[in-house]
Amino acid sequence: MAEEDLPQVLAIEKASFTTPWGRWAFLVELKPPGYAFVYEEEGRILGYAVMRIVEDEGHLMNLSVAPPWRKRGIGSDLLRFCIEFCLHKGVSSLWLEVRESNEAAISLYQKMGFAVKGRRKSYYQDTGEDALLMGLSLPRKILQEAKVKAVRTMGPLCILELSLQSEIPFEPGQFVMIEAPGRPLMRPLSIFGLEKKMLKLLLRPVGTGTRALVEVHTGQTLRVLLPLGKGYPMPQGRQKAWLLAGGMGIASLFPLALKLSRKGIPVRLLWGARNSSWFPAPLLWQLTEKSISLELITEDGSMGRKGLITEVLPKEWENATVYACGPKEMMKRILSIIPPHVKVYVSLEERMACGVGACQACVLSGRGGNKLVCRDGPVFEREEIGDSLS
Amino acid sequence: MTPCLETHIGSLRLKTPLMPASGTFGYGDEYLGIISYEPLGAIVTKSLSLKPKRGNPPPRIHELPCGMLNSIGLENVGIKRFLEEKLPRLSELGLPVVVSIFGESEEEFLRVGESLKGAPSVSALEVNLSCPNVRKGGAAFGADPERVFHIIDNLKERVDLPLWAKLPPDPFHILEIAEAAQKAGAHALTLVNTLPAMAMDIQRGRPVLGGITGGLSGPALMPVALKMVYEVTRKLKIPVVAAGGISRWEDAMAFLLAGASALQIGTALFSNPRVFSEVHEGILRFMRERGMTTIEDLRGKAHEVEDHPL
Repeated sequence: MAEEDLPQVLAIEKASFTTPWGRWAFLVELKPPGYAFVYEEEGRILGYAVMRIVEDEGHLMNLSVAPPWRKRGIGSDLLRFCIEFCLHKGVSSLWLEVRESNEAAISLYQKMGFAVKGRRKSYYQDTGEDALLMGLSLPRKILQEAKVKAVRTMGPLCILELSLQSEIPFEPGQFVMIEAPGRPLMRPLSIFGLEKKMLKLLLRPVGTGTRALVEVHTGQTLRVLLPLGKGYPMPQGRQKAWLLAGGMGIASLFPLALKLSRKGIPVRLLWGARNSSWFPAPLLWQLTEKSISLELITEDGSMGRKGLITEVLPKEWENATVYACGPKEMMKRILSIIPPHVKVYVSLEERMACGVGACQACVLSGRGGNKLVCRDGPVFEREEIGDSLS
Repeated sequence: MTPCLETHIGSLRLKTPLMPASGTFGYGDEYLGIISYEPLGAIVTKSLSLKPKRGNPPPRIHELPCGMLNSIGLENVGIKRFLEEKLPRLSELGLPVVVSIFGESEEEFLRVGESLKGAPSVSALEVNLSCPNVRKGGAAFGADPERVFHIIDNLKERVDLPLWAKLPPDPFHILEIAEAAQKAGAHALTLVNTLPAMAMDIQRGRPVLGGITGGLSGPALMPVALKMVYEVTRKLKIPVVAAGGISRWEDAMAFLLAGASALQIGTALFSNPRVFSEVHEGILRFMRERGMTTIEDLRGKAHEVEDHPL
């Protein structure tokens, strides 16, 4: 927004609010910490948004669309623009007040991920109406030097424990890019655990990168970029959660199982692997002590049921949300077996170099166009995947 | 006194000689909030074509002991969406934007170039001449001095922006190709693009990359690129932006001594996202220790050593 936009902006403002902002109110916001944007079509201003950014907090102060142009997605576009602007400014939370009676606006904000965080009593002078305070947390990717605390070998698997420089919130399903000492590329690994400053990664040392990672010594520092990608959404309503882990797929489903159980959501976890050595007792205990119903499947029958996970899938899928992570073949089978009305989230793997959408290596290509596993995933809803796995 | 890292590529002034290599830094904003953009003198975008391009099937990358292969296949959103969605954000960074362009035909190069006329914050076009010439059986435009001359000459006539010709690493003809670009009026050369290469999956009996072949980048490419920068800057006046395996400040220094005016870093970002800051600090420290005040104290100094042909 520039000063010469103000006549048009003020006209929309007058048409939209009972106590409109005046010229000076807008002028102040034209320079930092104020940021004002207009939505323009063929030189005509149809809407605008005004916000302030102080340190890592953003505050949306005004958003309006000219009455004849409403219900065309202009408001959403403006809001999306503000959110992205905040992301790029390193803002960690965005806040706004909205009239309690303004259902259209509230629903727009909710759709964009805002949640009601509080209430400001008699906030609006004209009617004495309350304002709802809504907030949106923006994820931030952080590059850190993590210190190796321990490398615990458990059969063919290994847990790498690292101490981070600060506490970082994460969602199960998200991943890190971690330096593999001496290798030209960082490695993507699911977050197996992240509590306080302790990051845990589950790995199987079979490739050059994972082998380099389990050969690190205590006290060594490794570059870690996290948290990356989108995590697993929670089940809607009164759904129970069925988790299907194929081999190393447990790495991202393990923290999900713990989170779901903390929220009191019933969890049934099927974990399939080659043989019994894949199921370290400490991991099984951690799951069962949280009353997670655990079913093990081995290819050689050395533990649990014999066969492949796709051969022992339940027949009844009512009221279940499914979360699956495992080899590509297993994912394909699962998506073809589970009835289409069941909500399924799968976590996918692809080679990647940057983890942040810059290199565009981790492509998931389908009829609907290209998606990036690092940025649009690694967790996808089955509808998003479409024909990409075939 | 803090040494000044300012450098000039023709009439374009850059506050530091460092910038990302095209294709490794997305559209320029992906690393915002993760690394500092302070050490950068410019942003270089992914290569853009007239229409969106879906690129190659995965796997698109393959790690090697001393570098990597990529066959992204020039996936990009197309110049129109770039101008509408990506460029406005880049403009806010306050850095010169170098837009990398390519085409499958000479006309496409022109049309992409023309659509960038008058675009805000665009300071130069980097013409990616390593892409395949579809009409001529897929050989790179950049392998043929005549095609290079034509593309640059035509662009120069129609687009009022500095042109950087980015050339493939052809060890036997680099001088000839570079001369063609200079003669056509390029403002700078970017030396070099990735080296055509491939990897084999011996278990499955097929090439590793979805695109079959790809481009080699990273430390393995560095000495190859260094020699070309040295050779070209010794013979030609045109400024050279060096690219090829720079991963430490010592590598950057080597390219400056070899005659480069600016430096692009790509693959190293994937193992060390802080590489720009580290290289920036390394160059400053080196210059300070030796009492150097400007980049010119370094640039092309290695040329002063006489070579003795056998």
